[in-house]
Amino acid sequence: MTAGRRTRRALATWVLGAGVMRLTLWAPEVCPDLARSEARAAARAAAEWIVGNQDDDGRYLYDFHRERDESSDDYNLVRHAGVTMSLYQLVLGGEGQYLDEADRGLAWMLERTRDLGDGTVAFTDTDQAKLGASALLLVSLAHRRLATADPGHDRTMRGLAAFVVGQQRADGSMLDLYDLDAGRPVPDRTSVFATGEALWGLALVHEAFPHLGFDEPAWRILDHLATARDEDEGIVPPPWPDQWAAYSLAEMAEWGLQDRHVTYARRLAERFAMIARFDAQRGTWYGSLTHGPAPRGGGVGTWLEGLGALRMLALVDGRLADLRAPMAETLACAAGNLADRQVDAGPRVSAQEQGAWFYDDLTRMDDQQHAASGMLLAEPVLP
Amino acid sequence: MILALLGFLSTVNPAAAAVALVRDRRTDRPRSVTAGTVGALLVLVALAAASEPVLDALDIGLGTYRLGAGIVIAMAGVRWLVAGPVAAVPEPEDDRRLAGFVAFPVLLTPGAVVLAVSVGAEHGAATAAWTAAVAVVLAGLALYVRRSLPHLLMNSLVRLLGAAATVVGVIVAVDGMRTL
Repeated sequence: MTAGRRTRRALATWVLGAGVMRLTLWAPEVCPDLARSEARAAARAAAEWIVGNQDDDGRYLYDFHRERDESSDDYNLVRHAGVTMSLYQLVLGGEGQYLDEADRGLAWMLERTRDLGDGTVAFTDTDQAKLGASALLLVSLAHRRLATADPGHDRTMRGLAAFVVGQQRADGSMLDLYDLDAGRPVPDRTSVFATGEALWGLALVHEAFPHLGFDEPAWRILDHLATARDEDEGIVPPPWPDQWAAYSLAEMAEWGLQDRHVTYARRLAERFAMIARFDAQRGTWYGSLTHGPAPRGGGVGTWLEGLGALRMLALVDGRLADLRAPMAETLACAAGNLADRQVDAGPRVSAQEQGAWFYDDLTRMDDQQHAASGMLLAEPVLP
Repeated sequence: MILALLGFLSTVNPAAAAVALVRDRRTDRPRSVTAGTVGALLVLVALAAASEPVLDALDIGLGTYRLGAGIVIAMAGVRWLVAGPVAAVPEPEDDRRLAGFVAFPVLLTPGAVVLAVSVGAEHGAATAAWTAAVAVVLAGLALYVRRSLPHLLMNSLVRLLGAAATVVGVIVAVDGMRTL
């Protein structure tokens, strides 16, 4: 081979390689502009989907398939609690018009609480109580208390918090289920979702009732999340993108976080940002081919929640000050992409479609929940 | 900074430069080799200095860029590690062609080019310039004195530096994943 031929071959390889890189790993990150008022409008539209499709008894529409024009009979208590929590977040954020519907959703849950004795309360409609359901009911009540200053459910809050603490193992990890017949937690079964939900619930309860000592189990959960959870659950790559943990860290920002907690917060922010950047690369005309279809609205919403909560932590904790600007930039980008995918109002758009996010023609109530909450948290970084 | 230096040393791969040209020609053209070396260095420094405009033109953030750059570097490293050096070619007769060949493809490797932008964006053009200069000058020198270097040792060194480039690539990619 001559030098000239080798040069030409190298050149051809470079051109081909550059093309492949441009289409894949170096595809442009597309960030649609989004104004603060538009984010609020998107959150409101999502809330309208939730309350507009709510039953009189407080139950929400679980899902809707727009091609088949039908919804399933499925339901999930944890998601019901999460949707209610999101409505209370909106109320707390100035959207008081959703208080009645949120209270209806709350009443539906309170009808399904079970007294386990010693003032312990669990939210369940079967003989097994899920930790996440009770934890998010607790979070809902805490938000309602913050929004209304109504102490009417304080006893239930303390009972739910006691249930959550009862699910904790010695290493700070949380058991996911409680067997009502056996009267004890189901051993060896954990959940990557419920652990963070439990932490947030306990953190909020400690903020409401600082003298009751719920900070101690909260610290133990946070230690577990920060140091052992990913390995225990086999999360690769770590950390699990846990927006509930992010909410909790923001709530505990002034409790005196240790360096290991701040390191965990930093890793979480990096993880959310990486996923959000990858999602932004779907914005080109070929993006869905090279980066797969856009994820559920609920998925993107959780990234917004995570980044938004961690940004709040970074605003008060100087150890994360370097993350403030890049987190704000990524948050704004992800919010713009999420808003772009929401179904707008239109003459042929049904109440089950308007304001929703669809994936494979299906939307589920938690899509609107996480998206609405995420939009609220993204607002401060938007123009 | 250490990683940048190791990165340029492994991606420029002076050992690969030492075995890029055959040894059976008794030509001695230091000017051409110097011109090629300086040209390659100028390109790398220019890319490092223009890292921000490059990222803006690509419309991607530093994290996304570093993830891709790390994979390019690692792939080039794996290629050296597994297949060894590319077969040597005869020296071009023309002085300018020799200079051009030294610059590209011998010294301006894919790994070095993508690394220049990455180091420039993260550490600044000055750091990129001196770390790249160490590697490029060493590679140019190795190419010039190739007849006095033990061929077998150079072939092994190519693979060793390939392994180093693979490690550097993985580090850069992981760092990219963690960049906000």
